Amino acid sequence: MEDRLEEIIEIRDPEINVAEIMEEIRRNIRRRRSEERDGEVTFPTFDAGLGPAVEPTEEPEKVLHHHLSEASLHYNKIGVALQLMPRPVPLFGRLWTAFRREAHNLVIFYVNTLAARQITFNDHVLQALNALAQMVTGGNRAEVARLEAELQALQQRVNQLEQRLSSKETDREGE
Amino acid sequence: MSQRRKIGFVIPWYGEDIVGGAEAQCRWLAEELVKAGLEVEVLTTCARDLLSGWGRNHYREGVYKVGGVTVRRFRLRPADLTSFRIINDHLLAGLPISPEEEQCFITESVNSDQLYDFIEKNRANYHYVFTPYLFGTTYWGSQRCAGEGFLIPCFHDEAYAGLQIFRLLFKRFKGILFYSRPEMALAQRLYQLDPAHLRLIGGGVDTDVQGNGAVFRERHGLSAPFILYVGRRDETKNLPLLIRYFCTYKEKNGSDLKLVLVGDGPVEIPAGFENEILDLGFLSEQVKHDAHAAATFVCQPSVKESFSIVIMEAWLQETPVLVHADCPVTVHHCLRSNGGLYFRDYWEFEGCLSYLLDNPEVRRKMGRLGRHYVERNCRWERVVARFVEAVLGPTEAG
Repeated sequence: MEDRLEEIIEIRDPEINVAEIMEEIRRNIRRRRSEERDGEVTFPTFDAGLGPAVEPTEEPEKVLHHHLSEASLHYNKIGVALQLMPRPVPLFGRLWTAFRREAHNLVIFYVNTLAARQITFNDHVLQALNALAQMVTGGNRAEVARLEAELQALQQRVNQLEQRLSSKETDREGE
Repeated sequence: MSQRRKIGFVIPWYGEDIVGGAEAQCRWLAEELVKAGLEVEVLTTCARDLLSGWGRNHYREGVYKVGGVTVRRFRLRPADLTSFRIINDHLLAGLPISPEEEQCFITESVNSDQLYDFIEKNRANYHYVFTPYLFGTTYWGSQRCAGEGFLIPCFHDEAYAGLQIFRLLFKRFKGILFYSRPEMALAQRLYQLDPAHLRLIGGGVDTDVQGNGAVFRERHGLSAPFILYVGRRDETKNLPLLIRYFCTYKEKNGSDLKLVLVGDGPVEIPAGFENEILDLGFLSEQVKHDAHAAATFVCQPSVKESFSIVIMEAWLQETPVLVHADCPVTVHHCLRSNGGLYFRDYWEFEGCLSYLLDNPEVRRKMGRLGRHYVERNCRWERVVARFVEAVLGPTEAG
């Protein structure tokens, strides 16, 4: 059959379907990540980032990881350099350009002083967020698991007590 | 019979040794049209290429023959490169720019007054085809033949696409020709273009190339599986991301997998990974095909593609690809061909890598499907026929 010229021809195969393979890979990632939940979760250090935009999905941990990575890449990129766009001024052109340059340099000096302080602040905020993220997603897991086990044991004990209590009440009614 | 109008490609720079997808597609298309018996000329400036900039005339003005195509080179207009660079830096940093700065950006871009005069004087003799969209030659050149010319924009989602000047530019053409459907959809969505003016011509590649993977592996002493990256080494192509992900994968999984880099420009290899990441620099066309044939798979992490010659060349050697999920064009090719996978973040990168390495039979089959896709869609006869139909009309195409 002759293909229509403007059409992009799709290649189909009974065994290979990329969309399905991607689904399988994503399922495996979800499964592995949930298995790893009790294990150690490594968050990026400040010199390692992990890339481009992540859509807010059902996995908040992934989103948190992404934004921390991005923040660690950008937290110190605040300083500015001189960007003086030359403008032709017919009279006193050079003098005017020299004046503008000095004015820009003066502004840049104060802006970059402020930027340096902001970087120090960002550094602390990021370190705090990093630690917080590790607590929320890593360190606290063991504590949560211990409390869950304790709660389960208590629940069992309450159930046993309730059973015993109800059997005693039945005995009393029988008497 | 009246004298036929020539096809005149208008492009900022033109030459056989220019790196860049838009430039390569234009040159190949011009050469294929000449082979198909059409009269084609390229109208360009005396600039060498994007990397060399437009500060000086690299070539002498005049008429040249490049790869069988007549090339007319016109002198550059002097430009205020400082202003251009500052505004460009602002754009790339995601900062807003004023309408005056937009005007300055395009005025201080690559321009040639002689070229524009030629376009206006000869508008009855040419079907002008401007490419790509973001340079002065397209913006000012198309003003001299408004309503008549064609545009091959090489469009993708980037800071330049949001400028008002380009919103107006896209309304100026008789037809706009696209290399891929997602590229066309993006332009239509951003600029609300009349669908009647839009045509999909697709990109073309030489499908009669044969690489020798064994020769490549032997020459470079490669016995382990390897990921191949081919292209420019900069942030815009997302190579630093690929290197970061690869290093993380190696740290976590410790396999013997390597990353092989091919292309021009400096690259920073993290300490401790010097034996894992091999930088081969610029390779000849044949050696590049050999590399594609030898690779376990090719990774194209760029999210700013309008066609992606790299993945087509990989598929021609039956090598599957791994692309970035945020690039609609490369993902589109993967889904239509079933020849590659896509990752959005590190976890998916790792998942795709493991899948491709653990399933050699599926991997080989994906490579074959990719080849099939390129052969069906990107043969030059097909692209030329679509181009001729779009520019000259169905009668000429037939």
